[in-house]
Amino acid sequence: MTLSIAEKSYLYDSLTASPSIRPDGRKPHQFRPIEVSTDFLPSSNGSSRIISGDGSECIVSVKAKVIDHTLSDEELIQVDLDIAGERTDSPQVETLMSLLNKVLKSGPGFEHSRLQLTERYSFKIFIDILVISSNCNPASLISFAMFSALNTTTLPKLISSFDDLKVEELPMFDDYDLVNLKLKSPLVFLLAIVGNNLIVDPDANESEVCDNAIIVTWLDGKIRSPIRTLTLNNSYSKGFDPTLLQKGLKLIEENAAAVLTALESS
Amino acid sequence: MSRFEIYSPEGLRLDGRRWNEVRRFECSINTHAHAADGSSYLEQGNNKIITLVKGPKEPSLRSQANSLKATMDVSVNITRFSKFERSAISHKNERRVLEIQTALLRTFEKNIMLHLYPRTQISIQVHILQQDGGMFASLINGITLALIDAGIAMYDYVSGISIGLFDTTPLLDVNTLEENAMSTVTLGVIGKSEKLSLLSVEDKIPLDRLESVLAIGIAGAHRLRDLMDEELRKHAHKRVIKASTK
Amino acid sequence: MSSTTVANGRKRLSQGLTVTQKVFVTSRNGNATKIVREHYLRNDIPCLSKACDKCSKLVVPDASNKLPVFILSESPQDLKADNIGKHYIVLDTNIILQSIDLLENESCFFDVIVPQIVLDEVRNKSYPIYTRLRTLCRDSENNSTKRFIVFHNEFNENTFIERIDDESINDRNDRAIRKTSSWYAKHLKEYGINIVLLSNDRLNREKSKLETSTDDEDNTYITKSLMQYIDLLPNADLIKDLVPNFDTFNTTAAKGETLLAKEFTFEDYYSTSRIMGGLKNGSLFQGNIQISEFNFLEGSINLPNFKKPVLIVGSKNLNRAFNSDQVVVELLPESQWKAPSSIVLDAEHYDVNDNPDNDDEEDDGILNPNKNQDAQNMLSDKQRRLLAQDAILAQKSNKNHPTAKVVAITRRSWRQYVGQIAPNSVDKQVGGTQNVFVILMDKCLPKIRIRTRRANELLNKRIVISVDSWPADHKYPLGHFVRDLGDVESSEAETEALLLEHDVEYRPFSRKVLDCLPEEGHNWKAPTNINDPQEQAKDPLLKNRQDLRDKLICSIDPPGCVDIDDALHAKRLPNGNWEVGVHIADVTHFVKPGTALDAEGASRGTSVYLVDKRIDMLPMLLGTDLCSLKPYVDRFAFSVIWELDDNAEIIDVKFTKSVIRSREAFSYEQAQLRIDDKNQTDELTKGMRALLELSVKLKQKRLDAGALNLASPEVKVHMDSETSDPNEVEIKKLLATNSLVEEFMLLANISVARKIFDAFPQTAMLRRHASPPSTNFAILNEMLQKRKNLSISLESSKALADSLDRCIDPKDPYFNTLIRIMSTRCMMAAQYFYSGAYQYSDFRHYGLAVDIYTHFTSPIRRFCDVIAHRQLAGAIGYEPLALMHRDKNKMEMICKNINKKHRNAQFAGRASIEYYVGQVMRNNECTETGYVIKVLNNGIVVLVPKFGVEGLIRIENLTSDPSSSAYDEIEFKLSFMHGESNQTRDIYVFDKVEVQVRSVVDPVTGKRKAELLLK
Repeated sequence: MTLSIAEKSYLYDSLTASPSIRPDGRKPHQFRPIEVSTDFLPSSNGSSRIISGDGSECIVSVKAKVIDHTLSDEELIQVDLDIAGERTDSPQVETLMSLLNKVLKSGPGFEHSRLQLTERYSFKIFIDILVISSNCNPASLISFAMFSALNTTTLPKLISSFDDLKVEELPMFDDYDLVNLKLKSPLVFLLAIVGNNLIVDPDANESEVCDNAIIVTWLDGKIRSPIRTLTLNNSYSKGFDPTLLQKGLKLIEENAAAVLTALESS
Repeated sequence: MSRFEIYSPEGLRLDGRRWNEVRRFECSINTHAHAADGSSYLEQGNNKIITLVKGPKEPSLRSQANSLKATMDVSVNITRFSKFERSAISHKNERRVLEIQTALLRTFEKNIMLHLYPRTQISIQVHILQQDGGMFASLINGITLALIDAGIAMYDYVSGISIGLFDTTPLLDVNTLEENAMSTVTLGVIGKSEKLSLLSVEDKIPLDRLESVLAIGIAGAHRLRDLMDEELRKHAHKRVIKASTK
Repeated sequence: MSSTTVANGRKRLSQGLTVTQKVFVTSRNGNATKIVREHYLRNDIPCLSKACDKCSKLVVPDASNKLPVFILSESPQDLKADNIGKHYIVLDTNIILQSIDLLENESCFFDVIVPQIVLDEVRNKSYPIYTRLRTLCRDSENNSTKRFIVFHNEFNENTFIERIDDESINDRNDRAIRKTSSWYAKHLKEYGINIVLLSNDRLNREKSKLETSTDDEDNTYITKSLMQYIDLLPNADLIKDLVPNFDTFNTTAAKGETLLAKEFTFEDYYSTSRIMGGLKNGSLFQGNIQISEFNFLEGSINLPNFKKPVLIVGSKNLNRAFNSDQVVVELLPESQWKAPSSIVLDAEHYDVNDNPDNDDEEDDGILNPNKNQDAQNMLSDKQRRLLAQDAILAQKSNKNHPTAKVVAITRRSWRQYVGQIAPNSVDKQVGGTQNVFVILMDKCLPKIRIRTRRANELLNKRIVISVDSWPADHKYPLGHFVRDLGDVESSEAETEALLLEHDVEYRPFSRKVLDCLPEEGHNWKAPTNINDPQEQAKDPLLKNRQDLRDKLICSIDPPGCVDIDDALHAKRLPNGNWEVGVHIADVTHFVKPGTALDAEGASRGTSVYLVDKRIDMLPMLLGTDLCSLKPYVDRFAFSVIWELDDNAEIIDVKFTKSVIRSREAFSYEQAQLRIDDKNQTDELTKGMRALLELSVKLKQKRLDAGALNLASPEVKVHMDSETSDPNEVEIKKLLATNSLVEEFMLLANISVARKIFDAFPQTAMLRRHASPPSTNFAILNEMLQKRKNLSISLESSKALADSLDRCIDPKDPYFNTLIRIMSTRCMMAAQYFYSGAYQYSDFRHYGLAVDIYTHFTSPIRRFCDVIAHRQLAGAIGYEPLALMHRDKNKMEMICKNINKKHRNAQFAGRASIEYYVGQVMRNNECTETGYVIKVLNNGIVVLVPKFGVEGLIRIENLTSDPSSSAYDEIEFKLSFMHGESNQTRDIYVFDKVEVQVRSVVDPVTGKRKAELLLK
């Protein structure tokens, strides 16, 4: 649904007011409610489904496969993104993919040692993301879904020996027991800049009128790279005051932990 | 020699069902109210499917419009993680998927009153999150539910069911293990009638057995129709209560 | 659907049906996949006890509208001992796997419950035992003594259990079996029937004691080990010997201490993950081991990439492998590679003095213990792979074969074996139970240690035993007694023994099979008029038949033949060409696909011909009467009718089902006489003459194309008509009429093969014969080269045939036959296959030099022909072909089985002749001409054409001074001091020698065999 020029102008004015007035009455640091269900795909090693209040929905599946890491130096984590109605080579998908890959590489959360099984073999995990519908930039929603999927991922338990470099053994697994992977993936936050105000989690209408937006990655209590600016619309985009960036990062630092707790409890 | 007793002399199947029992069938409609005009979520056994129906709406391309009736398109998205082993390649544009889409289109074109919606487009999107045999049949059920949710006029329910033939015993609503071990037939049955809007036989099946296969298939499809009907009525009832208490 | 979630993730779907998920991980090729399957639980699974009046209310019919039959007796066996009372037995998996023979015994185990989980485990571990168990259950419906049922505990909501974390699958399954037992106990309490759970697993028994003592009184059941239970039976003494031998329960505590102190142990097998890893990276190899028939401590294994077989020498390296086990081997370092041994060694003469009670043996010195074992274990896989490459290279250059050791056994070939107790292992003073050795008929197998109380009684009996286990600390495998076949050398016992040894089903046909035969029995008649509407109503296919009763058809068979498969006719056509018909018994008119009769035939695969006995594939009524193309009566046939020109070229071929009337049944000799008799000028004789002429042309064409004329030392045993004792052996004679029939059968087979392949390109039932790899002929060629300066060419079958023709010794006409016999042994075995399994180019039948071939002409005695008949009937539109013959997987199974049965039947036939030849020789000791066909380090192998026997003459029997012998492997020569004069005598391969033939009983083993002594 597109807004008329008058509506946009009204919305912009309210958002730039001090303190900003958001159309749904949220505070600047307040997120919209989301509904998370995890482990709903039993045949995957981990899965989660997130639905936000506006009907955006994202499904993440985590599957694992054993690879011989002495043979190839392929990444142990592979992300695939499918946005319903978009071609896989569309600019939106490609930008998001590059962002997600950077996000996953950031921070010490992704030590490869977690995935190493034996001296020769490792798990490679495949994160498949399906965005069923989205009204605004889904980066944040995807990162939440990825987090909760990885957080609940369980992998088969190795029962053969670790030392297999010289005398080769194929890894063998327990036929029942699964162990928690305990891999923390970074969270991604979207901050919209409107005038001198910062608002988190902009909805579709807010995205229409914001001046600019910043993507912030957060993990383990710290802001991490990548941090990027992002234009959410074509009409209102303009530069922003660098001091806002500091303010924005601070805002995330203050609120991210609460989001984490909420996701972990899901 | 299969590793399993597909159908034991005691009359039980691999998963404990008898020959004429359908799998767990759980459905809900209007699951994606914000994302589409009609939607459904279906679990038939371990098949998990989201179906979205958008429309009747203005065609995205003017050239697609037909002044006599609505145009339809179906897109089936088999996710890479839907089977136990993640598939290395994307299923989009796979010949088999294209065939299924065409078959679904043909099945529903006949059952939707398309002439009521001239110059519009009805898009059906199906996401298969998990599959465990009899996929084609489940797609039909998911689409029927979503179409009804979208309020699109149809002549009757179309319920899909797959039947396998193990030696001489027809087995209703096959799962993956059964599907891999025997020839199967997929039916789309209209309402409570014995009319078939779809019959798909992709393996060899002796003609003299086809009749018994169809008979049990139609009975099974009627059972699924009732389950869908029950769910729809329940849903409608809830809505009525909600509306009246507002 | 109204579904409410109940505890444990179970979801109630409707009254009596809940669903849950089964989650498990499969590791395959190093990958781990999480598998989730739906699992439905129900309340309508009956206990199947006739006593119970609750379950009959909840049963539902199956797909064919049949209700389950309640089988377990209301008054089962009542055991006073130990307060067991009336009881049913619940079995655990190991009991079934180990003691299936005992379970089949008619004098114990009457009412038995097999939990589904046990059945599944049995099926995964051993399909044959699963089949036997299922047969027991199936036959329970009409069996009054043995009542076995399968209880689907996994699908019953009362007995299903979830796996708990950290519980192994075995523990979980044991728990499920205990749960089943306690459910049954409670369920049947009110009817006064107790449950006895049999398990040899002590932990399992202890757990059940613990559970039943804490649970409420109602579901208490009794737990026993197999031995404990048998001990309680009134007829315990009879049965005890049949209990399998696992050492765990026949070793007393005192003995257990000595077990620990034992030094003799085999190496432990590698872990599965090590094997998988090693196989994948090419440092370990998998294959079927073949034990040398001359040396039971030498095995070989054919591996892809390796041109020569890899040898496994010595009992340590064989590491408990049996002949034809599927094993995994690891190569030994190059320093230990060697040539195949040229020593003869058999189990019966090896370590004759071993005491069956001891296992503490010194190393078998000569047989290469692996001294530097530790050093070897340090090799990395990389080094191992290099070793494998060296091994492949080395094979090309030198005589040594790479050697290897067995590191794991992936599939045991264990079955029941026939043998006899080694007399010197029996302590005749001991009356009670003792350990004795059983020497098996199969020379490639070690002796088996069994425990029996009837040792003295069983001496000199043919007995059947079963192998149970071979623990690493035992030098010999452990087994148990199964059955006594009768006295050694009694013809009944020996015949049964060889049938058992060759896995030939010889029991009478079951009721179910006989029920498939026509009701009229011997009074069945072909309809006199096939156009009779009444007859057509009875058999709608009748109208597709052709009436060929006007043709002058006759059959030519060996004398005394009762199952006449084929008949022929020939007639001059107006255009000068010949109409030739081959008429084959129409077996498939009576054997319809999917019937019990069909299944029985498919499983038997072939009739087996022994010297004094024929084991039929199909019931007598069909084989010797209704199908048999007897003279003077109307019979149904499947006819192949050609139009041939004077050069025997096919102008046209037609196939049709028909009704025929054979004018005469000739023996080969009678037919020959009739043809040769110039006075006979009737049409029938003229036809036969034409057939003979045409067959000669056909044969010439075949030979020109390169068909082989190989030979095997076929002999025939004459039986004394009065005493039916064998009294004479003769070599089979071949007449021109033999060849007449053979040529037309070949022609029919080829024509049919083309037709069915055309109609069913993926599943046509065919027969192929691969060209022999040159390595098979390597040794024979080397011998020929060295000794006779001859060679056999392998370029093509034509070249081979021609080079065989050139292999003549002007001084000895038999030499050519000898080479043909030896060549036959170098050939590949012909095999049945379905057309989808190979490329067209690989369909070739090398021996017959045709591009495609099948068996069509003997449906009474070969199952391949039955399928070919059905496929041909489908191809000509007579009746649609059954689905099972259009399914690749099913055809694959059929082919596998009939190939096996065919081979077994051949072996059984040969063994029978061998036995009877031995019996003939027993009465006539004589001197005969023999040929040396193999020279070994410590003996020579001689073939005696007159009896078709070959035998080993050990060096000890060649000379009084074995140490004087010298073996020259390059010249194929053995030299030794001979006779009184002590002159050196050289024996070369192919030498013609005079041998004294007699039959002796081996003092150690009690086996009779032909003994040859050089004159």
